[in-house]
Amino acid sequence: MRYSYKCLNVYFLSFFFFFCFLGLNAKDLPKIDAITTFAPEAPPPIKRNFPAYVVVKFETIELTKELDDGVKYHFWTFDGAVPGKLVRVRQGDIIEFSLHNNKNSKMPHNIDIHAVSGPGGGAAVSNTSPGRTSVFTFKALNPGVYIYHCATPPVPLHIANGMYGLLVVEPYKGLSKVDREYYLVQSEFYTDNAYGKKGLHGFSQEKALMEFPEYVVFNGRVGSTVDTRALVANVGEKVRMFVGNIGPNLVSSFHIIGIVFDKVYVEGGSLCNKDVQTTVIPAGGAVMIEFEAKVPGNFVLVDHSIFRAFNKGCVGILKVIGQENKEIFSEKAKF
Amino acid sequence: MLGKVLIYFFILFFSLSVYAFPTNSIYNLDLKLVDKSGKVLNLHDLSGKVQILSMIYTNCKTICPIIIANMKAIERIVLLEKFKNINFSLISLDPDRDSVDILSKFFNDKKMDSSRWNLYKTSKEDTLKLALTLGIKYKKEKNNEYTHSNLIIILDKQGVIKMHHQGLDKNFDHVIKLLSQLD
Amino acid sequence: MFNFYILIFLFFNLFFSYVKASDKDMVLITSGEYTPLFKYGDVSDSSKVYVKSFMINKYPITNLQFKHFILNNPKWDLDKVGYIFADKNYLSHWENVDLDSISNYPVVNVSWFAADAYCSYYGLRLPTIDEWEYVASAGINNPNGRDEANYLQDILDWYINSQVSKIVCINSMTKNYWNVFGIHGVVWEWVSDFNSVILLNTDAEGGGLEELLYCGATATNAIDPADYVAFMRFAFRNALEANYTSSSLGFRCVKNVG
Repeated sequence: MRYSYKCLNVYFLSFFFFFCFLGLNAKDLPKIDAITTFAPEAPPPIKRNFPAYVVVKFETIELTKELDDGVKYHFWTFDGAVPGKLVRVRQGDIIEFSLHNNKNSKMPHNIDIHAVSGPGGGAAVSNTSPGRTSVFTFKALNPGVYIYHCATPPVPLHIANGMYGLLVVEPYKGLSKVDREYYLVQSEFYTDNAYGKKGLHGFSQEKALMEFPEYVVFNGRVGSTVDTRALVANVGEKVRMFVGNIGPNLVSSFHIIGIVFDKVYVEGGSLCNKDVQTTVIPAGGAVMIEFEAKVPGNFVLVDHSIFRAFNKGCVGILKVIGQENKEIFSEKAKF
Repeated sequence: MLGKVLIYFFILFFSLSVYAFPTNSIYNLDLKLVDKSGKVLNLHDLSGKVQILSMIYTNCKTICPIIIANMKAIERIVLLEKFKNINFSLISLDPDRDSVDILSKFFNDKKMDSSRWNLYKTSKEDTLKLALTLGIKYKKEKNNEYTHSNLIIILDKQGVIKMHHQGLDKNFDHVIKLLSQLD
Repeated sequence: MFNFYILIFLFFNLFFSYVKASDKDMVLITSGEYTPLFKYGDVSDSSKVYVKSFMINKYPITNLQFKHFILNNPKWDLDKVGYIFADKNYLSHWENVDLDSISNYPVVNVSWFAADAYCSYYGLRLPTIDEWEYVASAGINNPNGRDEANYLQDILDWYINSQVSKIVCINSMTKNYWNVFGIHGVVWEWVSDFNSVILLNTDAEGGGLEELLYCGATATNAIDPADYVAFMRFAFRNALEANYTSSSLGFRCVKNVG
């Protein structure tokens, strides 16, 4: 008898919750502000197990800053940073996206978010003049790691000047627990001056059309993740990286020298590949990789189209600190 | 003395009534319309009623009929809900070809109810100004057809734009909700 | 009595000289053809557009000229213009600034309505997109700028590598083949029919118009997808509303001839 009552309770409760969620639309969802971060940091994993109405606010800002030491470039950005902020939401969330264009901008801007199922990925409804704001909403239907970028004509120019970032949609059940998460976007810059020449560089349309960049970098500048800005982890920690590649032209062959990726969520989607040395990130795409930091040392992040790493700036460093493990890796004697 | 006082009062009253509309009301636009009966009126004569507006042209064969059908669908709900102060106004994008006679014929062909509907035209310059104020884009193509935004615009009684509804969108829930507040 | 008539005579001269102020600094643009960014008409139509002769202001309208216009038309003064005609940043660069120091700089933060009112007051009008683009398609020495090396790259440099604060005064502007100064790289400029730019799917090359969504739409594609500066101008116009103002948006006027 007790057994059948328990069944009945579970039965009725599940119907109750089913009908509750059936009737839920945007206005019934709890409204929260998105937690966003600038690269290379990632917002914390999502703890809630229910959908929410998430408010995201971006501002487009045109500004001059360093592409390399002593090298300046006039960037177009989301919130003054290249890449823009990492936004983290949950599958099933309704996102209210507000785009403000700083009044000192010369250009109109908009946004195409690859997670959006809708015209232009949002670009059609977010075309914003300087000083104005556009707002649209979308539902995060698919989990994954998604590029967003400005899509105002001429689109390649808005991308080439720095307007991109990542939006992560966690699946309903969430992501597995890791100890560290990082956010990177690889991109190219087509400058009129040669790589490394000091001063203010301009955009070279000729080089862009020929797909001949002077700079290929992580996170918007040479050396963004080296020396004092290196990524860090401790031995034994599980590390996850959200890595995007916006191009605008090149495909990335992402590799970390000295590390094998335990898991690669191919193209940022749900297909999980294992034990991968180098993974391809399409232009306008992303990947999610997970690995364990097994031994200490400096591990170099590269695009393994290797001239880009050595001659165009596409290197980063992951510094792993901790106890050596001679069984996994040791230096033998030299003769 | 009394005459002077009356004149000053008149001027004050008149100037106040001219500036009676909020600064974001389209009735601040000083332009004349001609309706389908040939009657000349000021744009601000449309005030006092909630206006559901669109800009179309009678030679338009593809989208404009859909916009008008959607406006009629809204009208059916307006009647069901017994809203009293809703008008439907269409302004021609093509004043050169849309004469008063053509507008009148179009009105009859579409069986529009004159207690709620009217068709208007104005000068080419004022057509542009009105479209600009309403946020309607349009372009005359080489084949004399017009490419234009398919918007249905809702103005409150004071002429403030309250909603841009996509003209092809058959989901009127938010439109009706707004009309119930404005009526 | 005679002195009185002289005074009246001088007064009218002064008045009409203000009225015609904008007329003096105009140049003739002779009729011709240019290739617009987006093709008009069908596949079989020519991609070139014919533009009739007209006169155009040599320089963008300056702060001083606009101030004179307001003196004669006080309803366009900063505090008097309603939101429907100009947004809250209307002439905001005049606040707390000595106008003499910016008198010869292009007036900005003016809406389409304000620009249109200015031109109308002087018996002029805003240029159409075709007229403006026709003048702008000229190089320094050629009516067709594409015939000059680095033409597109130079304009691109001005647009994207300069800052808003570097708007130059009319004395520093460079002229093109038509003796029109500062047509590129100074400020964006209002055109009368900016609202004819209907870009639907901006991610696609040039923006396509779908027949089903717009009456009389003809499928358009950009004729030269490498003309980034033309794209930028079209994208800018596409995002505008008539009451918008911007610190990098000014105007100049045109007049019909013949």
